[in-house]
Amino acid sequence: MPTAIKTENLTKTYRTRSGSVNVVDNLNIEVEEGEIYGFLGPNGAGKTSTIKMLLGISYPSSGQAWLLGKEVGDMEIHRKISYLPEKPYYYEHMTGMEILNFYAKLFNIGPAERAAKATALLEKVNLASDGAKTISQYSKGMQQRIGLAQSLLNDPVLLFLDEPTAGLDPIAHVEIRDLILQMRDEGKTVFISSHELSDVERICDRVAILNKGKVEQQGKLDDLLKGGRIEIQAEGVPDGAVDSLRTDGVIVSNHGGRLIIDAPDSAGSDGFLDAIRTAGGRVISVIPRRKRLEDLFVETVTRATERIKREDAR
Amino acid sequence: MSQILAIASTTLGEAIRRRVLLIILMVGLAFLIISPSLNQLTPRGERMVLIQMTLGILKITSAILAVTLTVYLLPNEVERRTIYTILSKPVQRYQFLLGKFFGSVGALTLMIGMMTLVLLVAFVIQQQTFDMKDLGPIIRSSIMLVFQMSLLAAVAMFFSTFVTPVVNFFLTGLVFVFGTLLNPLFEALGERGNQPAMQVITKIAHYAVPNFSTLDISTNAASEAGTRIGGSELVYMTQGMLYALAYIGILLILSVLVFDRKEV
Amino acid sequence: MAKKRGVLIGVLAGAFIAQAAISQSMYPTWKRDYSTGNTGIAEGLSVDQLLASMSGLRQMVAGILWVQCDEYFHNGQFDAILPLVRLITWLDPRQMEVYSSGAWHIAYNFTDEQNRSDRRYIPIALRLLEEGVVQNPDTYRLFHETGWIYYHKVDDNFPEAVRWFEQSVQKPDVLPALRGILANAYLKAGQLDKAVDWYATLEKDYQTRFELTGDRSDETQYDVMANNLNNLLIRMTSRGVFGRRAGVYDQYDYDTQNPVDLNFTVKIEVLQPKVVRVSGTWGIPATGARIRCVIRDKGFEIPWEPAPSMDFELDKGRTYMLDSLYTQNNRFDRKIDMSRNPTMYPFKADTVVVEFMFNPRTAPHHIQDKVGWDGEGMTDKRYYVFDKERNHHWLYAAFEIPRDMILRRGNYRLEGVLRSEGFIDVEVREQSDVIERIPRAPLRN
Repeated sequence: MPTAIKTENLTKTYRTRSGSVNVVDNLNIEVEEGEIYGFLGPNGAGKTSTIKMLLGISYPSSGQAWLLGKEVGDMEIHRKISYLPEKPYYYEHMTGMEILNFYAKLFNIGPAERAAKATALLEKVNLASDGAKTISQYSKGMQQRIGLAQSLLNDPVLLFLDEPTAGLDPIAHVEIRDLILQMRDEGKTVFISSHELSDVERICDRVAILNKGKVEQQGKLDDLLKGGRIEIQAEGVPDGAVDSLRTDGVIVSNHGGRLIIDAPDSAGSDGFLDAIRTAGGRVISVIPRRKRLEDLFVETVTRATERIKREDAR
Repeated sequence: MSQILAIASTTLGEAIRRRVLLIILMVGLAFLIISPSLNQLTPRGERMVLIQMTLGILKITSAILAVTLTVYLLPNEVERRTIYTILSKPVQRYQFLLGKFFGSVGALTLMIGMMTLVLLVAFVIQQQTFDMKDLGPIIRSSIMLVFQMSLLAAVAMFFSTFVTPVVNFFLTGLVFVFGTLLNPLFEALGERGNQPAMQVITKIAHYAVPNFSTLDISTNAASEAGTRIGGSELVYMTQGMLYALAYIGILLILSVLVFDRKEV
Repeated sequence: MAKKRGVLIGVLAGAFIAQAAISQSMYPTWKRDYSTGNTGIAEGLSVDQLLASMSGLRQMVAGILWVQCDEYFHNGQFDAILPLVRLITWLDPRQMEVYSSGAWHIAYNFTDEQNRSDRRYIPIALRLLEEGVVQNPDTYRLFHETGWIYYHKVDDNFPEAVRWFEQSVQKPDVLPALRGILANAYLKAGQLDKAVDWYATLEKDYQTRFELTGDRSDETQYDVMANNLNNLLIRMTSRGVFGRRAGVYDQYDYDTQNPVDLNFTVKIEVLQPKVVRVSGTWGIPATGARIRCVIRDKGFEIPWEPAPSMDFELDKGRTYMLDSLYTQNNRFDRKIDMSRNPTMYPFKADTVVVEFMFNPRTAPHHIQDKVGWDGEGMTDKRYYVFDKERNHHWLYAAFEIPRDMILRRGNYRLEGVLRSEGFIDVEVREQSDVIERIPRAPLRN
C-alpha cells in the first residue's frame, strides 16, 4: 500500500525563556492510504503542531515529511488534501452556502460546479435546509458539519481532522462519526487527532499515541489492544472442582454459587468450558473482554510520564 | 488571482458587517452632518472652513477606520483558525495576505466613498451650490484620501505580521502622525533648522518614512484660491498615486517576506 | 523559494528608490501649494501644536481663538492678543481675516487716551501682513492691506505703498474699485507720470468693462477716472510741471513760483509732567495742512518696515509719540497729554527729541497748489530740507530737550519751555473762522 503520510525525525523546537522545548520530537510515523489513523495524545502532546507542519502552516525545525509521496509545502498536494481545524469559527456573517462557495473559489472551482458541489455537500452533511442561514445561527454540531463539508469540497484523498468531535452532544458525535466512516468507505485516508478515545477506538484502523512530542505507541488498533481477557460465568460447579480451574493469571471468584472466571485471552476458553461441564456445572455466558483503548492510553501516558520523571531525576 | 479575489471579497463583506467599524462610520457621518452648525464657531464663516473641517473629520474617521480594520485582519484569522483552513487549501501565503489587504482597501474605499457622498450632499444642501469649482476639490481630496488610507492600511498590515494588535495600533498611529507631519517637520528642521543632527535625521526620514503629508491635498481644497491649481493638481495627484502605490508595494513585499516565514 | 525572495528583495529596492524619487520630486510643489503652516515652526513649536496641524479641526480651533481675540480687542487686553494671533495664523495660515484684521488692530487700535495709536507696533503689523502674503500669495487682499498700512498709517514710506498696491492690482481677483488708490500712492510718492498712466489705464479698463457688461457702475467709474485724470493734468499744468519740463517755467506766472517762506517757529511748553503743548506759526494761512509732530527718545526711530521676527516682543522701554498738528490762520496749537499712558510713553532716555515735519506730497490739493507736489513752492530759512535725489522739499525741525524738562524735574520744576529761534508769540483763537494775518519776519535776502 502506498503511504499517505510519512515523517522522518520530524521535530519542532520552540524557544522558551529557560531554553528550548521540543514540541514535536523526532516524530516517525507512516500512514497508509485508505486507512483511518488516530493521532492520540493528551493536551499539549504536539498533535496540532504536527498537523500544522504537515500542512505547511508552520515549518519543521528539523526532519522531513511527505504527503502523498511529495514533500510537504508543495502546493499541488494542497489540491488533494483538506483540513478541519479544532473548533474553527467560520466567517459568521456568511451563510453555509456562502462559506462553501468561498472555499470552493480557493480551489479555483468554476461557478456552476461550485453551486452543484455546495448543494451536494450540504445534503451530505445534513444541512440542506440550513444553507441559507448564517453561521452565527448554526449550532456547534452544525458548524462542525459545515466544516466537514468545506473539507470535502476538493474531494480530498487525505483529510486531517483535528478533534472533530470535541464539545459536541452525543447525537452530533454519532453524525460526525458516521460521516468519517463514510469517507473511509469512499477510499479516503483520514488522519484524526483526538483525545475522544471512544470515537477513535470505534473508527480507527491504526493509532499513534503521542506524549510530550514523542510517539510512545503506534500500530494497528487490534494489535495494540491484544491481550484482553475472557470472562466465563457458570453455576453448579462443585467446590472441589473450582481449585483445578485456578491456574496462572486466572482469577476465579464465587458469588453466591455463581462462579466468575476471569482468564487471559491466551488461555483460551475451551479448557475452562470442558472442565466446567466435566464437573457437572452449567455455563451461563462466555464474554471476550478486549482491552480498552482508554486503558492503553492511560497506561502509555503514565508510563511515559514516569520515565521522563526518572530521566529528569537522573 | 481568483484566490486573492475570493479572500478580498470575503474580507470586504466581513468589514462591512463589523459592528465596531459601523459605529465609527456612523460617528463620522454624524459629525459630517452636524459640522455645518459648528461653522458658527468661526468668524470666517465661509465654505472654506466648512470644507476643511469636514475633510478633517473625514480624514480622522478614515484613519481610525483604516487602523482598526487592518490591525485585526491577520490576528483575527489566526484566532478563529480560519487561516488554517485557508492555507491548507491551494492558497499561497502571499495570496492570502494580498487578498486580505485588497479586501480592507476595498472596504476603506467604500466607506470613504460613502462619507464623501454624505459630505457632498450636506455641502450642496447647506451652500445651495452645484458648482464643480467647489465640489471638485472635495472629490479630489477624497480620492487622495483613499490612497493615504491604503498606505496606512499597508503600514498596519506590515506591522501585523510581527507585532500584536495593541502594539500595532500604536506603531501605526505613530507612523501616521509622523508621516502627516513629515513635510512640515522637514521644512522646519531639515531645511531651515540649524541643528546638523536634526537636519540629517529629518532628511533621512523624509526619504524613507511613508509621507502622508505629501498625499494630503485638502489644504488646497479649502484655501480661498482653491481652484487656482487646476491642471497641475492632476499631475500632482498622479505623482501622489504613484508614490502611494510604490510605497504600498514596498510594505506588501516586506509583509510577504515576513509573513512567509511566520509561524501562525 | 530562495530565488523568489531574491527577486522580491530586488523589486523592494527598486520600489524604495522609486518612492523616494517621487516624493522628493513632489516636495517643491507641496511646499508651494499644500503646505499648511510653515510659518514659525522653526522658531519652536510645542508637540501639541504640531499635532494640531494634522487635525482637520485646525480652522475651527483657530476660529474659536479668533473670537476670543476679538473680545480681547474690545476689552483692551492687548497683551493677550499678540500670542493668540501668532497661534491662529499658525493654525490656519490661509485665514486672511486674521492677517488683515489682526494687522489693522495692531497698527491702529493700541491707542493712548487721546486716541493716538502706538506706532511702535507698526513693524509688527507689517511683519504679520508679510507672513500672510507669503501664505496667500495668489489673492490681492493682503497685498492691498499691506499697501494700505504703508499708505495710510505709516504715511511716510510711499514707495513701499506703491510697491504693494502694484502687486495687488496684478492679482486676478482684485476688486476693480480698489485699484484707484494706486494712483494716489503714485502721487504721494512723487511719481506723477505713473499716476497719469494708471488713471488712463483704469479709464480704458472701465470703458471696456462697460462696453462688455453695460453695467452702470462701470460707467460711473469710467467717469470718475476720466475726471481724475483730467484734474490731475490740469493741476500738473497749473503747478508748472509741464512748464518746467518744457524749460519755460520761469517765463510764466505759476502759483508755485516765488517760494513761500514758511518761517516756521514753535514753542514747546511742558505744562505738567508728560503734558506738552506745542504751538507756533508758519507761513501757510490756509486751513487743512498738517504738520507731523514726533516726540521720541533720542536714538529711537521706528523703521517703517516689517519687524525682523514674529515674536511680538515689543521693547516697552522706548518712547515714540506721533501726532498731527492741524493748522489754520498761519498757526497751530496742540496740547499733547502723555501722562496717562506710562507704558506707551515711559520717557526713559536722557534726551528727548521733538520733531516737526511737513511733507508737501501729502498735503491737500489747495495747499499743494501753492507749494507744489514736491515742495518747490516753499522754503524756510531755518528748517528747509531738500532731497535732491528724490527732488523732494521738506520742512523739518528737530529740538532736543532733556528728560527732566518732559518730567518737570530738577531745573525744570518751575518752568519747562523751549522757544525756537524767532518765535512769534501770537494769540491763539480757538474756533475762529476769521482769517488773520500774523506779523511776518522779513524774507531772506
